[in-house]
Amino acid sequence: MSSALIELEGLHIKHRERTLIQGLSVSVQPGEVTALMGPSGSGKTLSARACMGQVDPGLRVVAGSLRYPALNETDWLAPVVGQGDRANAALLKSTAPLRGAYFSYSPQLASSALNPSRTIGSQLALAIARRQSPPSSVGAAVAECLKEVGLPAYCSKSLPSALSGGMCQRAALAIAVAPQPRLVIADEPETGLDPILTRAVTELLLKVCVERGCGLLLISHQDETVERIGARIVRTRQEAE
Amino acid sequence: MSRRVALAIFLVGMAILVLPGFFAPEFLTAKDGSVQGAVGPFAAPPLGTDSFGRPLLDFVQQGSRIVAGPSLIAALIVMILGAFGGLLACTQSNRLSTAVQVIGEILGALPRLVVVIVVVRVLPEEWRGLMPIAIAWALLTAPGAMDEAASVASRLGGSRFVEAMRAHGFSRRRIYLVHILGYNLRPVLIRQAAETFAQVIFLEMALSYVSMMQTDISELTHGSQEEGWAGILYDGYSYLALNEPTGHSLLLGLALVALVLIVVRSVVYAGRAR
Repeated sequence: MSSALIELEGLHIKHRERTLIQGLSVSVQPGEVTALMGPSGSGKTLSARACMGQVDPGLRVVAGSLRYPALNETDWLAPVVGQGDRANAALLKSTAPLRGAYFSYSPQLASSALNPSRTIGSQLALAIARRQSPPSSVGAAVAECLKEVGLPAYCSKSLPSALSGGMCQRAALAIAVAPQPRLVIADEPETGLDPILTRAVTELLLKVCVERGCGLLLISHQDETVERIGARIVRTRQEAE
Repeated sequence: MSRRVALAIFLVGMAILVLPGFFAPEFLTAKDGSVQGAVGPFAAPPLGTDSFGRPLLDFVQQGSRIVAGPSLIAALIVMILGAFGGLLACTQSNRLSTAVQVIGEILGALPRLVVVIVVVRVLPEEWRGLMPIAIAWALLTAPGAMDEAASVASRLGGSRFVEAMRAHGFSRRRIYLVHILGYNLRPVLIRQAAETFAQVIFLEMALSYVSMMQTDISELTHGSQEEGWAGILYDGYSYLALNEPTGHSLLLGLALVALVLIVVRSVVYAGRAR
């Protein structure tokens, strides 16, 4: 039995007659960083979402297999291949318990990850509630998460609008790692940040994942970032067909 | 002021506005002459009488009965349609969004007061009342509420926010009902509904006042046997114009207007995001 956290093989997704992803294979080992790279529009986010069992309505999985070997040997894409929206919806439902628990996702923009009407602390508390073994004190766990990403304790009571872009990105990262997932999928965490913040956030992401021993699937189109952290690289092709 | 205090003020204010309607008398009748003379404090009507000796409390009660139902239904319509507009902005159904936007633009372009007058004039006599006016007003107000809710949803990230929440493992129902509707659209929807609630009440008062001033116009919002809150203000106006001893009517009418505004402000405050 493989120890990989995720094994995606030969993924082929079409929208009507247009091929969006063809023959993509990705695997992530515990404690390892895998970078999914490619130009804009080459299907990086789509692939990452497919890794979590999220295939949008209207898209058709033509071929591929998706396994979480650290969990079991089930091929989650088997019932979806060649099927339509109904099968996609069933996959979305069946993988729901894994999202935010086995793996977590940090979207491109922190503004999409954070609920503007809830304090950072309450959002972290929701994420912490998805842990396999909930902590005895949620407040202490929230403070610990904030400290881990270098945010001051007062941020717990702040709304996202009261934080700077960099702080929001850190808060989004804290929410992504708060459920103690085994795999973190970070979708272009550098989006909208200046070069200094990009470096800080990426290194923080790496540090947190290494310290926790979880895998990291980093989606990026910045060669420099990926080379610096020495990640294993998987490239998507633009306009596969 | 905390949200709990604001909520308490709202509930008390609503009780004062709505509950008297349940005890409203069928007809307004003047008390016998003895009441207008010197009587003990417990024998006199609690809020005094108008120029014809009719208790102002009866006006308050009948006014409550006239406005409570229609204004609450109008608020509910605006809230439901606003929620629909906001949630629609978080889906990827472009065709439906476009269709709703076109209908909203057409409805939003109509002059509301003119439509209300047309509604009043077109409806047969037996259907006339505040309810059809309130529904028409709500339908014309709703596109604005839908637009505002949709813009809040768009600022939230629209479908991107839904996908991000899904990636955190939340179910679709929880995302739409709790995260979008409950946390983010709630302040907008409550404010829009509260404003519509007040608008319908003030519209009723304005239309009633007009029909009282113009004797050739029959009552537009209620039966001819009833008197609304506009009757109190109308009676009080003679204090300003003719210096008649009806200042208490004027104060009571203005107090009712102020109470409506307090109710609106308190519920908006109680429903705010944080």
